[in-house]
Amino acid sequence: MKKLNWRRLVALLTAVVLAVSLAACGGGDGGTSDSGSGTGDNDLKIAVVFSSSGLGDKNMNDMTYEAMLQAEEELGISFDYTVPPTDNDIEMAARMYVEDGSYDCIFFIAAATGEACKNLAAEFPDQKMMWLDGDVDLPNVCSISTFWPEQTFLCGVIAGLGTLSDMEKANDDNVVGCILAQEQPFLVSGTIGFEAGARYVNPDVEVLHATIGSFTDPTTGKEIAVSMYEKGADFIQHIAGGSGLGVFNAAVEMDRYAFGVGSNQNDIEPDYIVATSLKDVKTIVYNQVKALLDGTWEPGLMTIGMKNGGTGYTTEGSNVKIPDEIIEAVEEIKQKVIDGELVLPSTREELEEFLANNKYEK
Amino acid sequence: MNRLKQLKPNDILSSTAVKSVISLLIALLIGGVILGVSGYNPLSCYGAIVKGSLLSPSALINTLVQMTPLMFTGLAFAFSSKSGLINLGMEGQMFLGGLAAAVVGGLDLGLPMIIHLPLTILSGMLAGGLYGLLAGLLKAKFGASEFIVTLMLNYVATFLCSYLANGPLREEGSLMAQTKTVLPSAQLPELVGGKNLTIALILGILLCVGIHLFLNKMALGYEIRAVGRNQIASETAGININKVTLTTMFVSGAVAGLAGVSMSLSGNNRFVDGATAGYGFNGVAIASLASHNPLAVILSSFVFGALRTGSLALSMTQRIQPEFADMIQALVILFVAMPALLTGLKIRKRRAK
Repeated sequence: MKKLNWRRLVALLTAVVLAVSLAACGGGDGGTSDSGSGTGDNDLKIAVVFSSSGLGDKNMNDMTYEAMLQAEEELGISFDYTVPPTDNDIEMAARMYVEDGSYDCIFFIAAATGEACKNLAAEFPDQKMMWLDGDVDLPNVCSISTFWPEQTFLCGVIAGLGTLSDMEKANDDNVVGCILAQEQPFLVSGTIGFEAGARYVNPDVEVLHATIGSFTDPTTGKEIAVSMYEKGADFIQHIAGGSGLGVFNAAVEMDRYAFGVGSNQNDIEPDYIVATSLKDVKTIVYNQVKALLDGTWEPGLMTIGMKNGGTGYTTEGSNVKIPDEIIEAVEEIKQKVIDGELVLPSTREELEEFLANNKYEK
Repeated sequence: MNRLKQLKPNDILSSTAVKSVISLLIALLIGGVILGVSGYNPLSCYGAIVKGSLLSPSALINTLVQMTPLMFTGLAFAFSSKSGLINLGMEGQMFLGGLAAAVVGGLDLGLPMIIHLPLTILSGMLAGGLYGLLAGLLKAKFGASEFIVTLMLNYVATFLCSYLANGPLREEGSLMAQTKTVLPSAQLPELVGGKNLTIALILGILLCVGIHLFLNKMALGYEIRAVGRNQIASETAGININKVTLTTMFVSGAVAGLAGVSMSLSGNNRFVDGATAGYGFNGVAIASLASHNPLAVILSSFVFGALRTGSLALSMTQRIQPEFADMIQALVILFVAMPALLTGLKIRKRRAK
């Protein structure tokens, strides 16, 4: 009897093993592209290392991923990517790609991947690398940073004019807000840009600031946004990646306005998101791939701003009706920035100086 | 050979080691089924995991690097379980240990390495230990459930560390919320150059052996185990329960703190806010697989280290995310925590008799 039971156990395990193998065969067809790479028409092979924030942020990471998929389809390149489980694993993951030796270029996405990029770039000077949203000056790295004030300035202008206007969800208080994920210098300069925009057109406006502490914590993002709305803010700009989705929830709950950031987020809550402070990461990444393919890729520092069309604002996809005179004013101010008439501040000191020197006239 | 023949199937099934191995195998099998259903070839995936974690020197080193903090958190949980306490605060203790080590390691006291490094390590252990002791005190004084207290204290610790790394302790001009790098005199010596594999690995193995001996050869260790087996009987026998609770929580916290220390004093040699999140909680899986045996923690942390490294390697070329490792871990806990599954088999056998 005992033996029989043993057999039963063995039989059970065998059955499971068979099931697995069957599943394996079944998956075989779908899995011809199993390797995930090497499907391209040309030899260009790129590795993308994300930070642990990963995909699904409706922002920089997702835009990069979309650009890579587009490049895979249109340019016929192949790519692999990884999202390390913790930021502590970024360097190990990147090192695996570098040591593999088959990748033409390694893309590092987000500030958290910077340290790994710097270390590995110094250690492997022949490996091409690209770091998005950072500045590092190494002979094998193309480092792309954003001039953040130019990304958020125009939404600041909309907020500054909107809070005084008779827009449906605007209140009587002359207060707007800006919510940040983490106090990284680039992002902080984005909050300065927003405040500059708001106060440039509306010198008496109070701009509230708060920091969430994480890019992946929409719950805290929502709480902070709710308390800001309760303090009288009617427009909130978030610079908070995935945490920013909580700000949108708060806008819906409190029936107020919010601004998206990065990729066009207007369609997430089209009745509440007025506009997005746009950064066209998708085009930037796509152009990097193209440059690698054409052989025109160059290491060095690159800055994205309003002039080269990398940043701006968009109201596309939003149902919020912005008064025409506000849009006219924004377009006028945008032209001034592009013409170099307005040089935007990126620190608090520069902000006060900017406001003292530039007076807005209707 | 004779002995083997005498072993009855029931004995084999009840042996904890076999139980663990079977749990791991079932978890891997189910993981394979999930991979298969998702359209991947499980065999080639597991092949890639093995290759990426064991089959080349650099893969093996990566596994050992991953294993190091896991061993500490696994040992911390295993140790507290010996006295019947559940320390779920390893995450917070690890954060505090890591931050304390980064701070003390960054102090320029002009000390030679032989003093500075041990001092730094001790500070991390102390930070984790005192934080564990806090939960122990609440348990001993007020009977507060250490399960809840340690779990909630994680938030306090991680947010505190986050505040400090964002605020007063933040490296000036840094893009990230991180402390400045520790001095060379406080960095853990590397076993292999440039790979982040440090003597913390050896320290961890020695500690596992040490704790094993402590639990089995020393009076206090015996008391701890006795309380874990039967608290009321131990109390009647004159064992000071509070002393055992406090000692256990302090030691467990200190060991979890070492996980943070091992990561703050290697690699980029600093504390980065949130960078090590999750290693603390992984300790529960490590200890479960090891049946809370300190020696087995070495092996089980190696298995999980390999799984982590392997799934990362897998995700590099196949579009499967490293969360796959988390899934296997969860399945392992599920099966290890389901002794009924295996005892069920036993009962049926008895009836068959």
